[in-house]
Formats: sequence, C-alpha cells, structure tokens
Amino acid sequence: MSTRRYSRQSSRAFFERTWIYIGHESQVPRAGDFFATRIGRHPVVLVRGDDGETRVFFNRCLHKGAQVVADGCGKATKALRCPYHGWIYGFDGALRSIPARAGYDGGIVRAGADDFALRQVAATGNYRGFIFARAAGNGPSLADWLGPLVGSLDNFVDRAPAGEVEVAGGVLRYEHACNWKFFVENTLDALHPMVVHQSAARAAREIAAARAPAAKTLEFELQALAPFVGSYTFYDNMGARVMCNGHADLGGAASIHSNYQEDPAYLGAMTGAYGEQRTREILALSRNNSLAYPSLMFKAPVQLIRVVRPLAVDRTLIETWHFRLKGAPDSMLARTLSYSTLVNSSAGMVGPDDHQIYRRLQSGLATSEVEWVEMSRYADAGEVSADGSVSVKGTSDAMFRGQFAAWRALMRAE
Amino acid sequence: MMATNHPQSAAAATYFPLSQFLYREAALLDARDWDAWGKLFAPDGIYWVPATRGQTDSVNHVSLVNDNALLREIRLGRLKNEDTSSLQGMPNSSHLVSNIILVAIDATAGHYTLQSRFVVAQYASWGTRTFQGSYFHERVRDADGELKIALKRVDLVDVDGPQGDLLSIL
Repeated sequence: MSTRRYSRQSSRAFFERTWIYIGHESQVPRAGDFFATRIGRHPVVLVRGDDGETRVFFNRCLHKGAQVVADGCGKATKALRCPYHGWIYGFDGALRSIPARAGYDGGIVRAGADDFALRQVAATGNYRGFIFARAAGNGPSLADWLGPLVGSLDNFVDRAPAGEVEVAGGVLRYEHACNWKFFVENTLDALHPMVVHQSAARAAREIAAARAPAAKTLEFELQALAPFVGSYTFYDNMGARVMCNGHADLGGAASIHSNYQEDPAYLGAMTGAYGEQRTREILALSRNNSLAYPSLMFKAPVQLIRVVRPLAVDRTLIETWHFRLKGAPDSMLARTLSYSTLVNSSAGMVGPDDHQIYRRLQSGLATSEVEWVEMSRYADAGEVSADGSVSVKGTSDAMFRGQFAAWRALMRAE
Repeated sequence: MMATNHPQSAAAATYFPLSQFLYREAALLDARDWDAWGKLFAPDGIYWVPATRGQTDSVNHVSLVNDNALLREIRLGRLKNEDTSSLQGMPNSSHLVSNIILVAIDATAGHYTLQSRFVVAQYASWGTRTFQGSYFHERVRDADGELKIALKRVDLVDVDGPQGDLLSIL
C-alpha cells in the first residue's frame, strides 16, 4: 500500500472527515481559557473568546507552523503567543502583532490579514455544553448528525438537578495498543462482560454473598462490579438503539447501572427540581454506554465520558473525563470517580482485561486467510421508530453493523 | 537502654527493621504471595496510586488505584483467578526499593512514615515496562510485633502522561 493510500485510508483520516468531540464548555469558562487536543492528525485548540464565543482553531502558527499552545488545558491572559518567533493572536484567532514587522513592509504579512489568522476548523457545534468540531469538508449540521442520539445526551445533562454539568475530578489517559475500532465496538458489546470481566465480578459477588443478609446496603464497588456477570437475558432485555451515522446506545430499559442505591439527598434534589414524575422518567432511562460515533462514548448514569483519539493504526489514546451534576450532592461526583478508578483506570479491575482482548483482536486479525468477521447476530430483527432509530436486543450485532456502514460511507465519500 | 533515649539513636534503631519491612514487602510482591502482602496493611489501610502529580484528594479526584480493604480483597481475588484475561500474559515483576528516608516518627502514636524510591519492572508477554517513582509508607505501626501500613502512596514519575497497563501491584 502506498504511503498516500495509507494516508487517505488511515484511522486518523476517518476522524478528519466527521464530527469529533473536542471538549466541554466548562473546560474553558473564561476568555483566554483554552483546551488543546487532536482531530485525527490535526492539533486543534478550543478557545473562549473575549466575546464569550468558543472557537476551534488548527493549533498551528501561520508563520513557520509551530503548535501555538501546548496540549491540554491552559489560560492565556491577553493573547495567544507562538513560542517560536512570538507572533501574537487574539482569542478570536486574528493576527494581532508580529515582532520586527518592518521586514514585512509592503508584503502580504500584516496584523489583521485574514490569511494569517489562526485557521478555524470547517464547523463547530455545541450541544448542551458538549463541543464538537469537523476539521474539513461539507456535511450535516451537528444537530442533524447527532439525530436521535440527542435524547441520550439530554439524559446525561438532565440528571443534574440544575440542568447543567461541568468537568471535574481530573482525567485518566490510557494508551491502548490497538486500533480505535476495537475499543468503540466493545463499549456496546453485551456478549463479552460475562466472559472478560468474570474475574473481578465473581470476586465481588462472592464477597457480597458472604456479607450477612442483614447488610441492607452494599458498598458501591460491589454494586458496580456484580452486574458485569449478568446473564445473557439481562443484557438482551436492557435493549439497544441503533441510529444514523454509526451512533448507538446499549441499555435503556435497564443497564449495569440501574440497580445502584441512589443517595436520598440526590433524589431529593432531583424531585425538588423536576417533580416526582419527571425525576422518575429521567432516572428510569439507564444506558450502559451511548456512542457518538466515532469519538465519544458517554455513560449518563455515572456521569463520565470516554474520548477516543487514534494515534496510529495500532495505537489509541482513551481519555476518561468526569462530570459534576450541578445542584447534586458531592456524593455523586465521588461515586463517579470511584467507578472510574475501579473500571476505567489503566490499573483498574475492568479496563486492562478489555485491553488484553483488543491486543488479541489486533493480533488475530493480522492474518489475511479469513477476510471477514462475523456480525450477523439478530440480523434484521429490529423495530424502527418514527425518529429513524432502530430498537434491538442488547446483544444484537446491529450496533456494529451500523458502525461499519457509517465508516464505509464516509471513507468512500470524496 | 541508654542509647535509644537519644532521638538519633532511636531513629537508627528503628531504621533497620523498617527498611527490612520495605524490602520484605517488595519480595512478597515479586513472589506473588498476594495474601501475605495484603496482611501488611492495617484493617483500614489504603493502597493509593494518585492519577496526577501532587494529588492530595482521593475522593474528589480520580485515582489510578485507591484500594481499601474491600477493594484489596477484590484485586487480590482477581490476581488469583486464572481466567483473568489481562493476566494471561503471565506478568512478572521485580521491585527495587532504595533511598529510604525515615521522614517522621510519631513517638506518642507509635508510628513512622517512610519515603523511598522504587523501580518496578513489569514483564508481560507483549513486553517489559518499567515504573519509577516514590513510595510513601505512612503511619507504619507496630501491632503486636508486626508492622502494619496505614497508607501506601505511590507517586509515579510519569503520572501526568498517558499510562499503559499497570498490571502489577507497585
């Protein structure tokens, strides 16, 4: 395969063609706050402007091309200054000033010149605080692209008594030795937990069973781990939803999170904000994972997201970000962080077992003797809703079929 | 004994058994003697690997590991389970402990805090990874002739970068 062909077909090229999750607006609350990350191979930076707007720029100086700000969160006081020759940009991306500008007299380089403003990505969008961007090309608006998945994002935010969430509690960065697709697929795979996570879940179940029956409340970690070895029927019945552009949910009627004992103070705050009926509706919708394909997995019932950043064909960075529900007691964030330490950490009791399977997939699929993988489970068994989403059983392969259909469509588009 | 009344001598007298305690802990981990390692902790003892530099809070900030007795029991149960997929690569470890400093002696409470440096090599079938950083063994107490750890804090030198699998107990 030629380098050019590889480049066009690479994992990261795919990310450069569609809407990618960048960050949450709470990461850049004030003018000059920025968050620098990647869209595929592009370094990009989310910046809050003096006008309050958030913009996403390619993080590349228009002079010699140096990355203007370092990756991660930061705060600029007056302007963005390239660390190489000191070109200075406003928070709106405009080139403000150039050192030793006399040398450019009569030429094209001057403060305010459009060609030398930080280049904005093709499109940005914000849905209830979640900021997405598309690096290049034409395509649907963010709302059209998300389609019925907005309902799942709504459930994430509606779980806050004050109707807003904010990033809190730090981030986990876990580098995986595999292609991004394995991770994305696995978050919606309901046939693996009882096999792959049997070791941790069984240990938790045995400890829980040994507790005196009088123990009315189990530690959160036992509540969290035990459902991983739920039955196939349990996972089938929780249901799944397949949507446009590869988006999907696993869980709805139930999830591995739906039997948590909720803090009465949280239920009180929710009831106070929404009333009893609406609170019941919000909390009854319980999804294991929702996927805004390909870059964002979110877990509304435990207020965390996983963000996918492909690094190479066989290397993927997974970031786990955590959210505070505004108006909720502190116990809710503490629970989110306990869950993440237990499950998503590179030293956790769940994530490394998944990662080992991704290594096996990366290795096993290196053979060209078998040119397909099997994904026919519950073929054509789905119920189509008015919004175009298809409801299927939790262990259906329909979610994977949807992902690959979306991948193929986008990679074939010119 | 006269000598132990002098603070310097008291420190010297306690340094030897405390340093031996750290070496024995390392040897238990390398020998995969998980149960014996678990018993080095006080009943409310914590094994903590923060997720960022200078982290002081394990409740309102995520951690790489934050094991109380319950989670230690689950973690050790998982390590003993032959079906654990991440352990199919037969992980093996070598713990090196050095630069041990007795940073605090609380004579009234009868406990000690130790700082040290570690290098842990973790071999799995897909390669060897090395972890480096600092240990803090806090409030190590003599309980009926056995030393018990109240808090073992592990500060990885590269904690702010992306992490690979941390399969070993550090």
